[in-house]
Amino acid sequence: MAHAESDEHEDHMPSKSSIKRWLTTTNHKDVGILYLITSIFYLVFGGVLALLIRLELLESGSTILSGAAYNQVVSAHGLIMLFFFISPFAFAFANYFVPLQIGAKDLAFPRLNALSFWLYFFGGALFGSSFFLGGGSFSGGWTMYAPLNSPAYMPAVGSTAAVLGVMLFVISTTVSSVNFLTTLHSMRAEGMRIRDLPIFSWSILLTVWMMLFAFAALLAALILMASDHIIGTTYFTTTVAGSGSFLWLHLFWFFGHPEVYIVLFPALGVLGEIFKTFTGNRLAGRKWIMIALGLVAVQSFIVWMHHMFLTGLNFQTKTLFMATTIAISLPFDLMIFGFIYTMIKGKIRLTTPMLYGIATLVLFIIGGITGVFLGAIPLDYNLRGGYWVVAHFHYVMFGGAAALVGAIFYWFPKMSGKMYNRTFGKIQFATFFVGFNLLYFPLFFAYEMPRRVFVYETSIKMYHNIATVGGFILGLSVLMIVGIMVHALKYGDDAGDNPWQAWTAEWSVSSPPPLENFSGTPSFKSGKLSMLNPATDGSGTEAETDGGHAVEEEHTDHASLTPFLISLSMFVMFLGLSGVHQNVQALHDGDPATTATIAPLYAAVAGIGGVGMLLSLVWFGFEGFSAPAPLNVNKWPFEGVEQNKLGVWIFLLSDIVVFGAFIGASIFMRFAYGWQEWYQDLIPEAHVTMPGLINTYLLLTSSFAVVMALVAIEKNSKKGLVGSLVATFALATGFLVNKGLEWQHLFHISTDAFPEGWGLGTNIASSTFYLTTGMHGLHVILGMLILVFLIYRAWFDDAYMEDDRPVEYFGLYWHFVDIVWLFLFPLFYIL
Amino acid sequence: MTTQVPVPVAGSWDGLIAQAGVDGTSDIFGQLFLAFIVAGTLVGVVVIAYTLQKAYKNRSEDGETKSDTPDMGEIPPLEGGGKGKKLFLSFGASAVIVITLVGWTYFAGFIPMEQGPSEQQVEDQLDVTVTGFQFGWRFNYPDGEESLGRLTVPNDTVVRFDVTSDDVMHNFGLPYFDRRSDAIPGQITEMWIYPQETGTYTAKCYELCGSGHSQMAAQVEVVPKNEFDNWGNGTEQ
Ligand SMILES: [Cu+2]
Ligand SMILES: [Cu+2]
Repeated sequence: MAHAESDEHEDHMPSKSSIKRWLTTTNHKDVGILYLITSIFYLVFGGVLALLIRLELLESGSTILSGAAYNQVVSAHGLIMLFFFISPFAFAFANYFVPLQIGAKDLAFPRLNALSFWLYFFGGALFGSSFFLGGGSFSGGWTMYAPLNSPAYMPAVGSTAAVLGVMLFVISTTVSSVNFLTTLHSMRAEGMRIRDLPIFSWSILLTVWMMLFAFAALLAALILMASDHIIGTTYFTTTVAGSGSFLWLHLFWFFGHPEVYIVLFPALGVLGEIFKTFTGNRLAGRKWIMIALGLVAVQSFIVWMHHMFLTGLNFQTKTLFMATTIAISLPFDLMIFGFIYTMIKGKIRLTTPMLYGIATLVLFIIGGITGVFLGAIPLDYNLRGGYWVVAHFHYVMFGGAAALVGAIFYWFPKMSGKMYNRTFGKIQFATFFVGFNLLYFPLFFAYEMPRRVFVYETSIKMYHNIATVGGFILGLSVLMIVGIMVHALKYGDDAGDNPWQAWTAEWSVSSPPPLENFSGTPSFKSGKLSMLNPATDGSGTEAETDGGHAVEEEHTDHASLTPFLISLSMFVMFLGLSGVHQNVQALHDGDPATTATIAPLYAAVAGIGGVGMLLSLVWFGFEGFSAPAPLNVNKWPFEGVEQNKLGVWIFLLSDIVVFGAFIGASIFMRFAYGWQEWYQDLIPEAHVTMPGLINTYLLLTSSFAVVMALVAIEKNSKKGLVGSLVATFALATGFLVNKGLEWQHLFHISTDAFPEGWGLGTNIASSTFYLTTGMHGLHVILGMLILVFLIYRAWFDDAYMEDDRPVEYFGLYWHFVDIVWLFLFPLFYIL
Repeated sequence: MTTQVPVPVAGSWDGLIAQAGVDGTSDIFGQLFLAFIVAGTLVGVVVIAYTLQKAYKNRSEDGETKSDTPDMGEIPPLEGGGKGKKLFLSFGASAVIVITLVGWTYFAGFIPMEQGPSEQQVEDQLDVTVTGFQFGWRFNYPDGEESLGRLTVPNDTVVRFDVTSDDVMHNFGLPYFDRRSDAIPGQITEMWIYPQETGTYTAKCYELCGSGHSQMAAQVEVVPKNEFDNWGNGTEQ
């Protein structure tokens, strides 16, 4: 599929000034710009909420906000800044520059990349709209502790909508992680080994690995919470031995601590790039910095309980987690010194991005030192939950944002082709830095004050007032960023290809870079970037699909509306789901008439969204779409693994964590209740082994049928292929029917112990049973949808006889679903 | 409690009592906090000053970069710009400081705080159950007495709290005594204080618990021991 010149591609894409271009683009640079603009919008949104907090704190006591409203503002501020601002802000640059740095034309799955963005966009939209739905937004803090997060205490439709908005964002990050991991592991240009990645791309590689696992845990936690709200399970209202609260604490912080580094790492990568470029030196101790980052990424998953030092953990556990916490702080010292020593023997140009670089180091040093306080348990005993924590993590997290603001000033000339006014840049920097420290430093002195309250002693009023002034200065500086960029777009001088005399690959192409990035096939084999066959005959490019099927040349397109449509319909579906609510009557003053009219309305909206999602997914499957196949790539450690397969593998890895969390949650709750008592008290006799056993046979046979389908392809038998796939489908149907019968029976039993039947909300054992096996059932249904697609294509389009990979990859997924069942069956039917 | 001649041994309860702070509390937190502030400020100032000095000293006067920057799109040598030795020296120094400081808090603070004073060391003890609810605190004494929003404890007596909650998570915090503890429904967490001065203090909630969280405070009254006995809360004297 030859695409001779980039111009030709421009022809395939609507022009940049049309809305259609931005709705349908899948190009990594376009998507990067979409991320940048949207994330800055959320910075302003979250910032306005922060200023509301600061205004409220001008005086002690409720002045402009009520207690409930204050909690909503505080919660939304945290959730927006962490989820909808800072990570997407970092991924604006990751989208734009990772492919350029590694010599790739795009990400591995461009349509999925657009899907990531639109899921994020509509997740944010759902979160934003939560304020206007019944009862207001979520008000339990960004940490969403249980049981305050459960419908008994948080019944509002708006609060469920906010949670579902975050869930959409989490789905988006999972798609992104799979995409970036596949890209970084399979699309590096020839000669670039994984350890040769520029520091920014290296930091992103580790970030997405952490994201893959950490966000899977959060996804599981959010699904549990949402199911408590929507279908009435009882995970987080279970108080036996504090199990509901602890389940949330473990799941949330297993995600939450890595999340700190997910936010921080891209900032560290940016620091590395800035320090290299503006000192003119290579990174001091580059190898050690990369190793330190890698160590932290691994260690980040074994420190989570340091957030639980006040929950009554035993002595040994606390000691252990104190030790792992200190251990994880040490690699950061090494990184910071590495950046500092990069300046030695350098010739340092104090440009705006470099000023941001140095300032970020200062902020990180302050944030790091004050963090050591919290690692020392006796100090943590009196600092947790108070303003010391607030001040510390803003130095670290918003310090990270400072580096990313530096990234705007660093990469803006590349992205736009325009140079901003450098004096304006420096004024902006000064405003930012002064505002930042005025805002956050005084808060250390207010360490005895609890966070998330507006009542305080007069003795600390001064600190709050200074902070409020600082907050407004910081807010002003954010507006200045936007102003400077808009000004530069209009009046800026041409930046040239390499205004900073940097040497990573993104600076070797024009500003802004052409649609396909490089005018040939990049190679690093000679030790530096060179172009193979720079003549633009495009002979080296083959078509590659990313889930859609390859089509005839003339229909090939780089634009696709399906990511937008899928995300939009998920938005509609989730919006509806947030009102399908067991406590919906609580919202409308218990008036049954209102409830009767409102609840079906929400259900209808959810239904429309669901149908829309299905249709757009079908379109996605059939749509002609080609992504440039990578040539001459370096794939270590996945040589010989085809790209789509790698993508499926990585996705399944994250799915393992999701199921692991579900299974872990079931076991955790059962242990807390008492292993035997659980069986005796909570499970009816009608819950027998037989249906599970039958389903085990059905699923195992269906896995066999998929294998038969592949054999049939080998034998070139279309009938055999279709027959085997239909058999798989039939067995899966049998599985679901059997499960349906079993559930119906259990729902409607009437015994002394369970006079009302054994429903989802009957007790914690029924909740874990229905939700965990139900999640598995959803995976089965998803597999059946894919089967329908495969059967259709095999029958009508004679597909897969030449290329059996889609069937093979479906098989991977299907076997995985089977294996999960092999864990669920003993857990829920035998033990 | 009769005053003994205390031998200040790090890690022992007696040592810490002996070093009790000026405000009369057993000031483990205060001492460790102060030490961290001093060490942290010192390290912070040195490192930041060094950074700024390097940045200023090596600044480019003519706005140009070095003449020998690496080639465009180079595969950097693994060592990058070198300086590994210097890096490890500073890293080692910082690791020693951090591990020493935190290790010290472990032995001098954490262990004695976990164990609490034994009955031989402090004879008088009082157990109080603290229950958080939306939005207030309930205190239950051993003799069955119950009080809402107001905790009364005798001076010079170790008070042990069993903290729990009726509804959502709260956090029982006593800023004056430098201690906080989660209040979790269905779970009991323990903490203790050793008041050494009579007076009125505040208990606050340190975990977001709903619309009344900001105002969720209780009064803590430390009264002389004999007054407390008369007040009728009967400790096991
Ligand atoms: Cu953490
Ligand atoms: Cu509270």
